[in-house]
Amino acid sequence: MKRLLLLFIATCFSVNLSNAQIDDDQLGAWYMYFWTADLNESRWGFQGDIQYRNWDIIGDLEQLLLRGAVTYRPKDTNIKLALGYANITTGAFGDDDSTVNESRIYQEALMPQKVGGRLYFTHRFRYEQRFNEGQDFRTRFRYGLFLNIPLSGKEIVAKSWYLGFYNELFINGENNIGDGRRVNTFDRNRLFGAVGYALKKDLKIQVGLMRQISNGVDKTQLQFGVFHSF
Amino acid sequence: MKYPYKSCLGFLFLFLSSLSIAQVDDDPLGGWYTYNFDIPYQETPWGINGEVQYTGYEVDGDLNWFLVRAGVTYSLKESRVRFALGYGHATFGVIGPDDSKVTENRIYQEMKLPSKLFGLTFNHRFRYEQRFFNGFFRSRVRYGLFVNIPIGKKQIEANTFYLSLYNELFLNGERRLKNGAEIPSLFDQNRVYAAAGYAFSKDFKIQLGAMRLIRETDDRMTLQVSLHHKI
Repeated sequence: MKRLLLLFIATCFSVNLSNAQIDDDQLGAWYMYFWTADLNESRWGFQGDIQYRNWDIIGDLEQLLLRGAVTYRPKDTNIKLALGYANITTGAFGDDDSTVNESRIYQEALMPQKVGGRLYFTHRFRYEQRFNEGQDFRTRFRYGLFLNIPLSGKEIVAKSWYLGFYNELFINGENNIGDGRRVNTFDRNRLFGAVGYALKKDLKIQVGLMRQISNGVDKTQLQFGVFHSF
Repeated sequence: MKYPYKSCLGFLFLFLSSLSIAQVDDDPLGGWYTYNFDIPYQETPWGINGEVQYTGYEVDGDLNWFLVRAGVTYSLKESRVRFALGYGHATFGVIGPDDSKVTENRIYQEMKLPSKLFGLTFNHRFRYEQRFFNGFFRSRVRYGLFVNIPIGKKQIEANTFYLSLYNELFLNGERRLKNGAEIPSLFDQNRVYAAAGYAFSKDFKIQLGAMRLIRETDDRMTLQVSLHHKI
């Protein structure tokens, strides 16, 4: 049955990947560091990430994203809630070095769910309030389904390899963003697949590919991620 | 005694307010009537799930669509995940006095993941549909989050009132169809729903509620009456 389940998941992902329209945009690269810190003997903690996103492999800044949040784990559940802030600098494509800035507040809920012994799913719901330079106030709703599958054994422990997948959908809360400009309700979708390796139980690295579909651009980027909890 | 519904009142409030800030245009209130059945096959993990659905642009008629669908279900024992593979047939009508119709044949795959939270069961449902119309093909991915909240009891059993809430999001799989039509956005629709339910028995329930359906160009409210039957 587990094999069937794996096959089902693999089929879903491969169907999606092959349906994506090919375009000749260049390969981008995102370098990311994620951290979480749970306070000892407490339901409270912190989490954050730094992401350096490039239109090309390195040098042509797409975005620099800094994010930090306070987290809380309610009693008798395995969910984690977060309230955070992010600052994003977005750079123009190509030789143009101009940037625009965004400040953002967000709330999120993480719901981990284990299926069939070794499929580690996490549902993530995130609601963002965005203050973009030169635009009206915007909100966005995000839902992501993340899956980690250990390749040997049933858990991801020190020195184990694993596969990481996710799909995340972004929905705009507003269609009018100021000065008569309109955006679709659909904002973007990200589909991701990676190979991961756990150096220690609380330090993992991932190398993968992510395809982002938005209204104007379909683009693939290399993803290098470090996941650190302490 | 602590009832599940008390621990999620804040969540409830947020949810209901998202339903009520509807900027519904001059469209009349629609109607939506559903019979949903589950037939578990003896003591096996297999079963059948199906639905008959009539929806009108108005509460008392003007066919929006009529849908019949049924699928074979399989539940994983250890995790209560349920898969379904099914077929549906739908007839769509046009708003107003125009009586022309469009029909659709559809296959779908579904995965339902229950997760426990605050003493309640939240169901995540993922559905992938392949839709065959006369002359073109479309596909659609759906994700819905469903919860039923018993009132005054810890579980839904015979003679229980409950609240039923869901939100479901639909994404288009194509940007251009075989007949040349362009799909302007991958966002197809979002449905947000709230209802009062009553369980006559554990296996037979009725729900009366409202649903707000949002598309890129459309925002409408429908009245919903549904029966849920486990045979």
